[in-house]
Amino acid sequence: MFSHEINEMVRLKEKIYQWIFSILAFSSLFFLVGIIIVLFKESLPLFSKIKLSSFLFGKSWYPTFDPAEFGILPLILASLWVTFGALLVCVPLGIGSALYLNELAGHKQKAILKPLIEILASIPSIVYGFFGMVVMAPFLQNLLDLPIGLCAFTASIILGIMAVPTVCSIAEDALSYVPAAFREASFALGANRWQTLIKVVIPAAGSGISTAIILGISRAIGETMTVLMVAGGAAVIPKSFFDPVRPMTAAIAAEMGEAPLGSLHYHALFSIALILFLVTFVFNIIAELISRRFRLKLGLAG
Amino acid sequence: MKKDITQNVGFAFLIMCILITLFFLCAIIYFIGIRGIKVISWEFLTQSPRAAMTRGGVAPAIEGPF
Repeated sequence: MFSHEINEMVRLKEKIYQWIFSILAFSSLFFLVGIIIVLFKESLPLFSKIKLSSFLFGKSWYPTFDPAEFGILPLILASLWVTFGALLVCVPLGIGSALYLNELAGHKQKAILKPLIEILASIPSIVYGFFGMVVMAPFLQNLLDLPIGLCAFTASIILGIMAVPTVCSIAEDALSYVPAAFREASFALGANRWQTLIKVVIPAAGSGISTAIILGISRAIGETMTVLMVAGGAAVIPKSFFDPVRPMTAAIAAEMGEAPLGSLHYHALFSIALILFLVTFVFNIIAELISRRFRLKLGLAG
Repeated sequence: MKKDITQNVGFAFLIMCILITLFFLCAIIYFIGIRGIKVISWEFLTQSPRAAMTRGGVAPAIEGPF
């Protein structure tokens, strides 16, 4: 009889916990839906005045001129340039570091190096921006004899460094899931460590590594504070890597405070946000699909 | 042997990758941390700005996030 009462209590407790956690889980969904609704509601009025094609492919972004022009091609190109540049930095560094941690580092070394790399993820983006502005930009300006240090190139390097911990830790996880039997089989066939790494381990962890790269991309494309401070901020179509650029995120952050509520400029900024949201959303879905395939491939799906 | 040379070059590349990453980490910590710590004192953390933000401290800004 006594144990029966305890059982009842445990069951009740479990039910309460279940409720709390399902409410928490659904609340994040609720916020997501809310954000999507607001984005659409605030951005759609723009398209009654401006055609979608002239918004996406217009070459000039002069939101405060009279007549104002809302062509976000320079902003989209700036985001693409900076993200592409960041990719060139973070993929070799992130994947290379992950391979080093997985293949060459001993247990002790790994125990020190992994947290060290993760410190990079915990540095606030404003600190990266400050570092880029005060240290990196003048240094590169002198080194490469540029007219201005705040440009797509500097922003790419800083963004790339910011994305390294994301890429590295996900890639390292993927590499550590590769069964030891794969390596042993390769060694038994006479391959050395490098050949095993390139021809067996990396292909086996391939989808995990691509997930890491895609998440690195979405980190770089959504980063705001750093590009606002370092990328230079000129809303013109970039001609070279060393031109100042104004990525989409920086445009939103810089202009939202000045745009009159409900004006075309305001709606245009929301439209940029919507595009940004859709891009990162697509990237995240791709990453999720790839990582699901990866789990199936290694038989971890259960 | 050729495959050993490839292995050494490859491993050297991996070591270079991690060293560059650590170099940037150290550079950021050095420039922000070491240069910043020199000016941090109790007065800086606990006083309000004076003389048009050129003297005094950053206490209001630290309280802000809370």
